[in-house]
Amino acid sequence: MVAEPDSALLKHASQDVEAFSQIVAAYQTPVFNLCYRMLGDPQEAEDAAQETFWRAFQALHRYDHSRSFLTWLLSIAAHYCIDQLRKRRTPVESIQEWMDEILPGSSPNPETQYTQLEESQRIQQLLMRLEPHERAVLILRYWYEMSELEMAEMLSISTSAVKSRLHRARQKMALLWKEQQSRYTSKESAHEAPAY
Amino acid sequence: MKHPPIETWFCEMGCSEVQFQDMQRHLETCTHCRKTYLAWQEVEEEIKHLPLLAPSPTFVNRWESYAQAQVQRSHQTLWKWVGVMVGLTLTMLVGCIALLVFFWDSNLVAEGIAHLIRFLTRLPSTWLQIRYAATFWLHEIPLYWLPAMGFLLYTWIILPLSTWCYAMAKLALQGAKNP
Repeated sequence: MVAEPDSALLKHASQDVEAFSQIVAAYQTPVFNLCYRMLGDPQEAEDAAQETFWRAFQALHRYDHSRSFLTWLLSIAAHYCIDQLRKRRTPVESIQEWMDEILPGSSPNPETQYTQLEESQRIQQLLMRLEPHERAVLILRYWYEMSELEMAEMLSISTSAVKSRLHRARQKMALLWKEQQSRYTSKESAHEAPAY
Repeated sequence: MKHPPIETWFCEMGCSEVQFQDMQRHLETCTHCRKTYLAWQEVEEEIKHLPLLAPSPTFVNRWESYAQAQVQRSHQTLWKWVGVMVGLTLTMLVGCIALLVFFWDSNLVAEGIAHLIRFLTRLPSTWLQIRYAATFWLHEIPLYWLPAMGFLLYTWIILPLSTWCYAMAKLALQGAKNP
């Protein structure tokens, strides 16, 4: 993960947009990733990340230095995304075009790249079928490796609520995965069936 | 059949040796849980391989121009409010001067000023009167009535209100949605 910004930079950044840009550059990936995993749409995720950094810039004087800066930023992003999801309540289906653009082209093998894309899409589709709060805890747990206590503080809920949401999210994901797998299997067997 | 509890759902957040053995035994006998467990393990494996996605390379530049525009907009809004306040103050000032000039010769201004002076001079005595009335009525009420009235007030207004607020806060903490 990203190193904590020093207090001198934070002090300077609270008054200057250009100085804050250094923070944006350092934290853009984790914030954007959370927004994307929450909203499922790249353009919306960029807008949400932008708004998150703007809100952080405005509230920087209220930031408690004893807490992790990344946790604080992610907390703003998570709350913003949950609000956005409450407002729209419509699932996003297609992300193919954008995934071609943003996935790193480090792998020379197009087959591997395609498999990665497909996997990423499948997981994203499952994530989009969860409730916003369940989605948030699952993302924070598996992409950011946060503890229950950290998640509870971030989302302003109790640890027991985090536990039950995490449990529901895992169970739903597992069931949806089973459902998806059986659909794929039945499709494949239909294609393989000989035509008499 | 007794399924594993939420707190130790497949020992994901860590569990004791006994709990782990209990869970293993349960998975051997419960087909539903075994299937869910295996499916979740597959999902978890998939998630582990997914990288953190980065925004487009121009994101920082775009954020900078967005922030500059927001700062400019907030400055504009501030100046707009200052303008409105100054405008209102000037209008009121001009209006007052106009009224004064217009009614200077009439008795209206003099009467207004006289009322104001009378009110200000009587203010201490009015306050004394109010205090006297309050003390009088407080003495009229028997002493044992006061805690009774306080208790009634508390039980009928503050207690239900605070219970309601407490319940709402507790529900929100548990993750209950707004109706």
